[in-house]
Amino acid sequence: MSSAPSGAREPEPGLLSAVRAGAPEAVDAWFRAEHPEVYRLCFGFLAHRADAEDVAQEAMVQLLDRLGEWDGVRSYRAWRTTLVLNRCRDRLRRVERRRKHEDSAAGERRERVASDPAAALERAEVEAALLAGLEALPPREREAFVLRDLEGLETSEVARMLAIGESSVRSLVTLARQRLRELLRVRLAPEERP
Amino acid sequence: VNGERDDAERVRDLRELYERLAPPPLADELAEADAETARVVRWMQQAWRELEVPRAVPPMRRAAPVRAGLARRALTWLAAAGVLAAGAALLPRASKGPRPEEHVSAAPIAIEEIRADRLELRAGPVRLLLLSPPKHDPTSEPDPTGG
Repeated sequence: MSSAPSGAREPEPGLLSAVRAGAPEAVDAWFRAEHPEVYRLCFGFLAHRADAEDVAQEAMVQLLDRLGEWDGVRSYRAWRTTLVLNRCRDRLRRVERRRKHEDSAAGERRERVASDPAAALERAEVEAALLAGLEALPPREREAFVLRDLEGLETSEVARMLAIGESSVRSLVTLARQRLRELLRVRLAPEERP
Repeated sequence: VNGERDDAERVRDLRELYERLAPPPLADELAEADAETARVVRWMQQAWRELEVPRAVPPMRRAAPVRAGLARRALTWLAAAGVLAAGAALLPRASKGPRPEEHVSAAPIAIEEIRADRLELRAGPVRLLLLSPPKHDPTSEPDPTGG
Protein backbone atom coordinates (compact mmCIF):
# COMPACT_ATOMS: atom_id res chain seq x y z
CA MET A 1 0.00 0.00 0.00
CA SER A 2 1.28 3.43 -0.88
CA SER A 3 2.08 5.75 1.98
CA ALA A 4 0.93 8.86 0.14
CA PRO A 5 -1.21 8.32 -2.91
CA SER A 6 -0.51 11.37 -5.02
CA GLY A 7 -3.85 11.10 -6.76
CA ALA A 8 -2.16 10.32 -10.04
CA ARG A 9 -3.83 7.63 -12.07
CA GLU A 10 -3.05 5.97 -15.32
CA PRO A 11 -4.42 8.06 -18.19
CA GLU A 12 -7.19 6.54 -20.27
CA PRO A 13 -5.82 4.29 -23.00
CA GLY A 14 -8.04 6.07 -25.52
CA LEU A 15 -6.44 9.38 -24.68
CA LEU A 16 -2.94 8.00 -25.11
CA SER A 17 -3.88 6.45 -28.46
CA ALA A 18 -5.25 9.78 -29.65
CA VAL A 19 -2.10 11.55 -28.47
CA ARG A 20 -0.01 9.02 -30.35
CA ALA A 21 -2.09 9.69 -33.45
CA GLY A 22 -1.38 13.39 -33.03
CA ALA A 23 -4.93 14.66 -32.39
CA PRO A 24 -4.42 18.28 -31.22
CA GLU A 25 -7.26 18.20 -28.66
CA ALA A 26 -5.92 15.00 -27.14
CA VAL A 27 -2.40 16.40 -26.98
CA ASP A 28 -3.77 19.48 -25.25
CA ALA A 29 -5.74 17.45 -22.69
CA TRP A 30 -2.81 15.13 -22.08
CA PHE A 31 -0.44 18.05 -21.60
CA ARG A 32 -2.71 19.78 -19.11
CA ALA A 33 -3.05 16.62 -17.06
CA GLU A 34 0.57 15.55 -17.22
CA HIS A 35 2.53 18.75 -16.92
CA PRO A 36 1.77 19.48 -13.24
CA GLU A 37 2.83 15.98 -12.25
CA VAL A 38 5.96 16.09 -14.33
CA TYR A 39 6.81 19.50 -12.90
CA ARG A 40 6.38 18.24 -9.33
CA LEU A 41 8.62 15.28 -10.04
CA CYS A 42 11.27 17.57 -11.50
CA PHE A 43 10.94 19.91 -8.53
CA GLY A 44 11.41 16.98 -6.19
CA PHE A 45 14.35 15.41 -8.00
CA LEU A 46 16.16 18.66 -8.71
CA ALA A 47 15.17 20.70 -5.65
CA HIS A 48 15.40 23.80 -7.82
CA ARG A 49 12.45 25.67 -9.21
CA ALA A 50 13.93 27.21 -12.35
CA ASP A 51 15.62 23.97 -13.37
CA ALA A 52 12.42 22.08 -12.66
CA GLU A 53 10.52 24.41 -14.97
CA ASP A 54 13.01 23.93 -17.78
CA VAL A 55 13.36 20.20 -17.44
CA ALA A 56 9.60 19.70 -17.10
CA GLN A 57 9.04 21.46 -20.41
CA GLU A 58 11.79 19.46 -22.09
CA ALA A 59 10.50 16.25 -20.59
CA MET A 60 6.99 16.93 -21.86
CA VAL A 61 8.30 17.35 -25.39
CA GLN A 62 10.38 14.22 -25.07
CA LEU A 63 7.46 12.24 -23.67
CA LEU A 64 5.34 13.33 -26.60
CA ASP A 65 8.03 12.38 -29.08
CA ARG A 66 8.66 9.00 -27.49
CA LEU A 67 5.13 8.04 -26.63
CA GLY A 68 5.24 5.66 -29.59
CA GLU A 69 7.99 3.72 -27.84
CA TRP A 70 5.84 2.97 -24.81
CA ASP A 71 4.84 -0.67 -25.17
CA GLY A 72 1.55 -0.40 -23.31
CA VAL A 73 2.46 -3.43 -21.20
CA ARG A 74 4.37 -1.56 -18.55
CA SER A 75 2.53 1.01 -16.47
CA TYR A 76 2.46 4.32 -18.31
CA ARG A 77 3.12 6.16 -15.08
CA ALA A 78 6.21 4.09 -14.35
CA TRP A 79 7.47 4.62 -17.92
CA ARG A 80 6.87 8.36 -17.70
CA THR A 81 8.44 8.69 -14.25
CA THR A 82 11.55 6.80 -15.33
CA LEU A 83 11.97 9.09 -18.33
CA VAL A 84 11.56 12.18 -16.14
CA LEU A 85 13.98 10.77 -13.57
CA ASN A 86 16.65 10.17 -16.21
CA ARG A 87 16.15 13.64 -17.60
CA CYS A 88 16.57 15.14 -14.13
CA ARG A 89 19.69 13.08 -13.47
CA ASP A 90 21.19 14.40 -16.71
CA ARG A 91 20.44 17.94 -15.65
CA LEU A 92 21.88 17.40 -12.18
CA ARG A 93 25.09 16.06 -13.64
CA ARG A 94 25.42 19.09 -15.90
CA VAL A 95 24.73 21.76 -13.32
CA GLU A 96 26.17 20.22 -10.20
CA ARG A 97 29.59 21.80 -10.50
CA ARG A 98 28.45 24.99 -12.14
CA ARG A 99 25.82 25.80 -9.57
CA LYS A 100 28.32 25.97 -6.74
CA HIS A 101 29.93 28.95 -8.40
CA GLU A 102 26.85 30.71 -9.58
CA ASP A 103 24.40 32.93 -7.92
CA SER A 104 21.28 30.89 -8.41
CA ALA A 105 19.18 33.75 -7.10
CA ALA A 106 18.76 35.10 -10.61
CA GLY A 107 16.88 31.99 -11.61
CA GLU A 108 14.69 32.24 -8.57
CA ARG A 109 13.53 35.76 -9.31
CA ARG A 110 10.84 34.85 -11.77
CA GLU A 111 8.08 37.06 -10.72
CA ARG A 112 4.50 35.97 -10.80
CA VAL A 113 1.38 37.99 -10.68
CA ALA A 114 -0.23 37.32 -7.34
CA SER A 115 -3.85 38.18 -6.81
CA ASP A 116 -3.48 37.76 -3.05
CA PRO A 117 -0.08 38.88 -1.74
CA ALA A 118 -0.60 37.29 1.69
CA ALA A 119 -1.50 33.96 0.16
CA ALA A 120 1.39 34.29 -2.27
CA LEU A 121 3.74 34.95 0.63
CA GLU A 122 2.44 31.94 2.49
CA ARG A 123 2.82 29.79 -0.60
CA ALA A 124 6.34 31.07 -1.06
CA GLU A 125 7.20 30.19 2.53
CA VAL A 126 5.77 26.72 2.18
CA GLU A 127 7.63 26.22 -1.06
CA ALA A 128 10.85 27.49 0.51
CA ALA A 129 10.50 25.00 3.38
CA LEU A 130 9.73 22.18 0.96
CA LEU A 131 12.72 23.16 -1.12
CA ALA A 132 14.97 23.37 1.93
CA GLY A 133 13.95 19.88 2.96
CA LEU A 134 14.55 18.41 -0.48
CA GLU A 135 17.85 20.22 -0.91
CA ALA A 136 19.11 18.78 2.34
CA LEU A 137 18.81 15.24 1.03
CA PRO A 138 21.55 13.52 -0.96
CA PRO A 139 20.35 12.75 -4.51
CA ARG A 140 19.68 9.03 -4.00
CA GLU A 141 17.73 9.61 -0.80
CA ARG A 142 15.82 12.40 -2.49
CA GLU A 143 14.87 10.20 -5.41
CA ALA A 144 13.68 7.43 -3.15
CA PHE A 145 11.78 9.81 -0.89
CA VAL A 146 10.08 11.62 -3.79
CA LEU A 147 9.02 8.40 -5.45
CA ARG A 148 7.98 6.55 -2.31
CA ASP A 149 6.57 9.19 -0.01
CA LEU A 150 5.58 12.03 -2.31
CA GLU A 151 4.61 10.20 -5.49
CA GLY A 152 3.25 7.33 -3.43
CA LEU A 153 4.73 4.51 -5.48
CA GLU A 154 5.14 1.04 -4.05
CA THR A 155 8.55 0.10 -2.70
CA SER A 156 8.88 -2.56 -5.40
CA GLU A 157 8.17 0.02 -8.13
CA VAL A 158 10.70 2.43 -6.68
CA ALA A 159 13.26 -0.36 -6.51
CA ARG A 160 12.70 -1.14 -10.20
CA MET A 161 12.98 2.50 -11.21
CA LEU A 162 16.14 3.13 -9.25
CA ALA A 163 17.56 -0.29 -10.15
CA ILE A 164 18.27 -1.16 -6.51
CA GLY A 165 16.90 -3.67 -4.00
CA GLU A 166 13.76 -3.10 -2.00
CA SER A 167 15.73 -3.11 1.26
CA SER A 168 17.92 -0.36 -0.14
CA VAL A 169 14.81 1.65 -0.94
CA ARG A 170 13.62 1.24 2.64
CA SER A 171 17.00 2.32 3.96
CA LEU A 172 17.11 5.38 1.75
CA VAL A 173 13.55 6.39 2.61
CA THR A 174 14.15 5.89 6.33
CA LEU A 175 17.31 7.99 6.23
CA ALA A 176 15.56 10.70 4.26
CA ARG A 177 12.67 10.81 6.72
CA GLN A 178 15.03 11.09 9.65
CA ARG A 179 16.99 13.84 8.01
CA LEU A 180 13.81 15.75 7.20
CA ARG A 181 12.51 15.32 10.70
CA GLU A 182 15.68 16.81 12.14
CA LEU A 183 15.62 19.66 9.68
CA LEU A 184 11.97 20.59 9.67
CA ARG A 185 10.59 19.77 13.09
CA VAL A 186 12.09 22.97 14.50
CA ARG A 187 10.97 24.98 11.50
CA LEU A 188 7.40 23.71 11.58
CA ALA A 189 5.44 24.85 14.55
CA PRO A 190 2.96 22.21 15.78
CA GLU A 191 -0.02 24.22 14.55
CA GLU A 192 1.61 25.21 11.27
CA ARG A 193 0.17 23.61 8.19
CA PRO A 194 0.95 24.23 4.53
CA VAL B 1 40.17 -5.63 41.97
CA ASN B 2 37.18 -7.96 42.20
CA GLY B 3 34.79 -5.06 41.69
CA GLU B 4 36.58 -3.94 38.51
CA ARG B 5 36.47 -7.49 37.16
CA ASP B 6 32.74 -7.72 37.84
CA ASP B 7 32.17 -4.45 36.00
CA ALA B 8 34.15 -5.65 33.00
CA GLU B 9 32.17 -8.90 32.90
CA ARG B 10 28.88 -7.01 33.09
CA VAL B 11 29.94 -4.75 30.21
CA ARG B 12 30.98 -7.77 28.15
CA ASP B 13 27.68 -9.51 28.85
CA LEU B 14 25.76 -6.42 27.90
CA ARG B 15 27.72 -6.08 24.70
CA GLU B 16 27.03 -9.70 23.79
CA LEU B 17 23.35 -9.20 24.47
CA TYR B 18 23.30 -6.07 22.37
CA GLU B 19 25.01 -7.82 19.47
CA ARG B 20 22.42 -10.59 19.59
CA LEU B 21 19.60 -8.10 19.21
CA ALA B 22 18.09 -7.76 15.75
CA PRO B 23 17.92 -4.19 14.45
CA PRO B 24 14.43 -2.70 14.34
CA PRO B 25 12.75 -3.21 10.97
CA LEU B 26 12.92 -0.30 8.58
CA ALA B 27 9.69 1.60 8.47
CA ASP B 28 8.25 1.10 5.02
CA GLU B 29 4.79 2.51 5.58
CA LEU B 30 4.60 5.96 7.03
CA ALA B 31 2.27 4.66 9.72
CA GLU B 32 5.17 2.63 11.08
CA ALA B 33 7.31 5.71 11.57
CA ASP B 34 7.33 7.67 14.82
CA ALA B 35 4.82 10.48 15.28
CA GLU B 36 7.29 13.30 14.75
CA THR B 37 8.64 11.85 11.51
CA ALA B 38 5.14 11.11 10.26
CA ARG B 39 4.08 14.70 10.96
CA VAL B 40 7.00 16.14 9.03
CA VAL B 41 6.49 13.78 6.09
CA ARG B 42 2.75 14.52 5.95
CA TRP B 43 3.54 18.20 5.90
CA MET B 44 5.91 17.59 2.99
CA GLN B 45 3.22 15.61 1.17
CA GLN B 46 0.66 18.35 1.55
CA ALA B 47 3.11 21.04 0.47
CA TRP B 48 4.00 18.85 -2.49
CA ARG B 49 0.39 18.50 -3.58
CA GLU B 50 -0.22 22.23 -3.24
CA LEU B 51 2.94 23.21 -5.05
CA GLU B 52 2.26 26.03 -7.48
CA VAL B 53 2.85 24.75 -10.97
CA PRO B 54 4.06 27.34 -13.48
CA ARG B 55 2.05 27.80 -16.62
CA ALA B 56 3.35 25.98 -19.63
CA VAL B 57 2.30 25.89 -23.23
CA PRO B 58 1.54 22.60 -24.94
CA PRO B 59 4.08 21.97 -27.67
CA MET B 60 1.61 22.36 -30.53
CA ARG B 61 4.48 22.45 -33.01
CA ARG B 62 4.91 18.78 -32.25
CA ALA B 63 1.26 18.03 -31.74
CA ALA B 64 1.21 15.58 -34.60
CA PRO B 65 4.71 14.19 -34.77
CA VAL B 66 4.04 11.75 -37.58
CA ARG B 67 1.95 14.11 -39.72
CA ALA B 68 4.23 17.03 -39.04
CA GLY B 69 7.21 14.95 -40.12
CA LEU B 70 5.48 13.91 -43.30
CA ALA B 71 4.41 17.47 -44.02
CA ARG B 72 7.93 18.74 -43.47
CA ARG B 73 9.34 16.11 -45.80
CA ALA B 74 6.69 16.86 -48.42
CA LEU B 75 7.45 20.58 -48.27
CA THR B 76 11.15 19.90 -48.63
CA TRP B 77 10.55 17.72 -51.70
CA LEU B 78 8.21 20.32 -53.17
CA ALA B 79 10.75 23.09 -52.70
CA ALA B 80 13.48 20.93 -54.21
CA ALA B 81 11.27 20.13 -57.23
CA GLY B 82 10.55 23.85 -57.69
CA VAL B 83 14.23 24.70 -57.64
CA LEU B 84 14.96 21.94 -60.16
CA ALA B 85 12.17 23.07 -62.48
CA ALA B 86 13.30 26.68 -62.36
CA GLY B 87 16.88 25.62 -62.97
CA ALA B 88 15.88 23.49 -65.95
CA ALA B 89 13.95 26.38 -67.45
CA LEU B 90 16.80 28.84 -67.01
CA LEU B 91 19.58 26.53 -68.17
CA PRO B 92 19.08 26.92 -72.01
CA ARG B 93 18.91 30.69 -71.71
CA ALA B 94 22.01 30.80 -69.60
CA SER B 95 23.95 28.62 -72.05
CA LYS B 96 22.91 30.58 -75.17
CA GLY B 97 23.14 34.04 -73.73
CA PRO B 98 20.79 36.89 -74.56
CA ARG B 99 19.87 37.43 -78.22
CA PRO B 100 19.94 40.98 -79.63
CA GLU B 101 16.35 40.84 -80.83
CA GLU B 102 15.24 39.90 -77.39
CA HIS B 103 16.56 43.20 -76.15
CA VAL B 104 14.51 45.00 -78.77
CA SER B 105 11.40 43.04 -78.09
CA ALA B 106 11.96 43.29 -74.39
CA ALA B 107 11.91 47.08 -74.50
CA PRO B 108 9.66 48.19 -77.39
CA ILE B 109 10.13 51.76 -78.54
CA ALA B 110 7.12 53.64 -79.75
CA ILE B 111 7.30 56.73 -81.92
CA GLU B 112 5.18 59.36 -80.33
CA GLU B 113 5.66 62.36 -82.60
CA ILE B 114 7.71 63.38 -85.63
CA ARG B 115 8.20 66.96 -86.61
CA ALA B 116 10.94 68.87 -88.45
CA ASP B 117 12.51 69.95 -85.25
CA ARG B 118 11.41 67.25 -82.93
CA LEU B 119 11.35 63.51 -82.64
CA GLU B 120 9.68 62.03 -79.63
CA LEU B 121 10.16 58.40 -78.72
CA ARG B 122 8.91 56.38 -75.83
CA ALA B 123 10.54 53.27 -74.37
CA GLY B 124 8.79 52.08 -71.27
CA PRO B 125 8.68 54.82 -68.70
CA VAL B 126 11.37 56.83 -70.51
CA ARG B 127 10.37 59.51 -73.00
CA LEU B 128 13.06 60.71 -75.35
CA LEU B 129 12.89 64.05 -77.16
CA LEU B 130 15.28 64.85 -79.94
CA LEU B 131 15.15 68.50 -80.79
CA SER B 132 16.83 70.29 -83.66
CA PRO B 133 16.84 74.07 -84.19
CA PRO B 134 14.55 75.26 -87.00
CA LYS B 135 16.32 76.12 -90.29
CA HIS B 136 16.66 79.87 -90.83
CA ASP B 137 14.77 81.00 -94.02
CA PRO B 138 14.87 84.82 -94.55
CA THR B 139 12.12 84.75 -97.18
CA SER B 140 9.73 83.28 -94.77
CA GLU B 141 10.27 85.99 -92.25
CA PRO B 142 7.21 88.22 -91.84
CA ASP B 143 7.46 91.76 -93.03
CA PRO B 144 7.94 93.97 -90.01
CA THR B 145 6.17 96.74 -91.81
CA GLY B 146 3.16 94.45 -92.26
CA GLY B 147 3.23 94.82 -96.06
